[in-house]
Amino acid sequence: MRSLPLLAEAPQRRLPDWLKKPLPRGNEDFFTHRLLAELRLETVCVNARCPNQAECWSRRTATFMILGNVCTRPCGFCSVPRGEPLEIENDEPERLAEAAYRLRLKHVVITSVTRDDLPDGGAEHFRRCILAVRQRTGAAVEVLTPDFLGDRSALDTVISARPEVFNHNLETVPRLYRRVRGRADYQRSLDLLAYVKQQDRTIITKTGLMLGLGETLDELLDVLADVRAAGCDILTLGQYLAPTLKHIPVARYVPPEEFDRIAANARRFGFLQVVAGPFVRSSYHADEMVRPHAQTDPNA
Amino acid sequence: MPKPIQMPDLGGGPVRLSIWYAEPGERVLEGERLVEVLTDRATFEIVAPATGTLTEKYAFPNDPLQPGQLLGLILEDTLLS
Repeated sequence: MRSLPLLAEAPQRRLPDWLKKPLPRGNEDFFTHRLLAELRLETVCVNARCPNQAECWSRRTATFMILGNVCTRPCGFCSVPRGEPLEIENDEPERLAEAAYRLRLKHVVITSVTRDDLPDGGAEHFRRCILAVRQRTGAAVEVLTPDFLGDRSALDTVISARPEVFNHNLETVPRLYRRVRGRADYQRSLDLLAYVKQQDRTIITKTGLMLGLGETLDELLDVLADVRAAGCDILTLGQYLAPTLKHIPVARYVPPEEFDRIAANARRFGFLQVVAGPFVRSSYHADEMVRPHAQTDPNA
Repeated sequence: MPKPIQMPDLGGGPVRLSIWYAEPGERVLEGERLVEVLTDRATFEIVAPATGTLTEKYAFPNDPLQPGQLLGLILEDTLLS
């Protein structure tokens, strides 16, 4: 007998046509699924309910989320659970490195929950993860970090491991920060990007924003100017999609052609790479964003 | 053995079947879109895992779906000959 549908939880409305994706054939995503389960690793793919998960996992890639799956900040756009954070697992760097090795990754993206409860915000754990992955796989490492409350010594710790890419997402325009990013601070995030570039110009810096939260084009262009002034190399722009009905609702679905126009505008600011589209996420095809430009320095 | 059409893991959250693009008895080509499913974050098209004849449908429009659920069966061409 078929069970009754949970109508209250089921999606009720049809999304715009452009928010449609074909699903990959085969069961490659189950390989990734099993490996991550075996090694007890968290991913932002699952925790953020990413619409690209099936595609990425079928390509045997995932974005690892370290330092547990409980966040200390209540951001209105994010579905990662918040509450009492978990203890750091000391063997996580080795388990992560093992997963990267078995997935044969050449470009490994590591992000984390925000850990304002830790004295260094988890920076040392980031450093250990970068080094472990590099030693086991030789892969390029991209980190997507929280703001470490602007703590420069925490940033120095991560920078000292020399990740190939240092990503910190601005997420939205400053007017919407309180509602979208809670305790984050726009200027602090900008300063973080500038500081990383000042400390090591060989590290590619990167940021991302979600569109469709209620920002205006002028506000967005102001942010892009700020980001470039901070020396940021790579920009990603994607559609905000509310994880559940409890999160900030989508203000607007931005059509693909509008993403194209915004990207063309953004490129005039001199970014090394601009990737924009409804399903673009900061870690989506992250390896491809870096590959064509690995040897260039737009800030030189 | 007929080829199963399985519901992939879309990363949690409610999923509902929207429409089938083929009826039982129709021939389908591997890679051709076969089923549309809706989530609150994207619409996904599940493609035919093999070329052959769609023989069974086990899920229908508006049904809530779970990862791994069997949606239907395709009898592959090679098994028909």
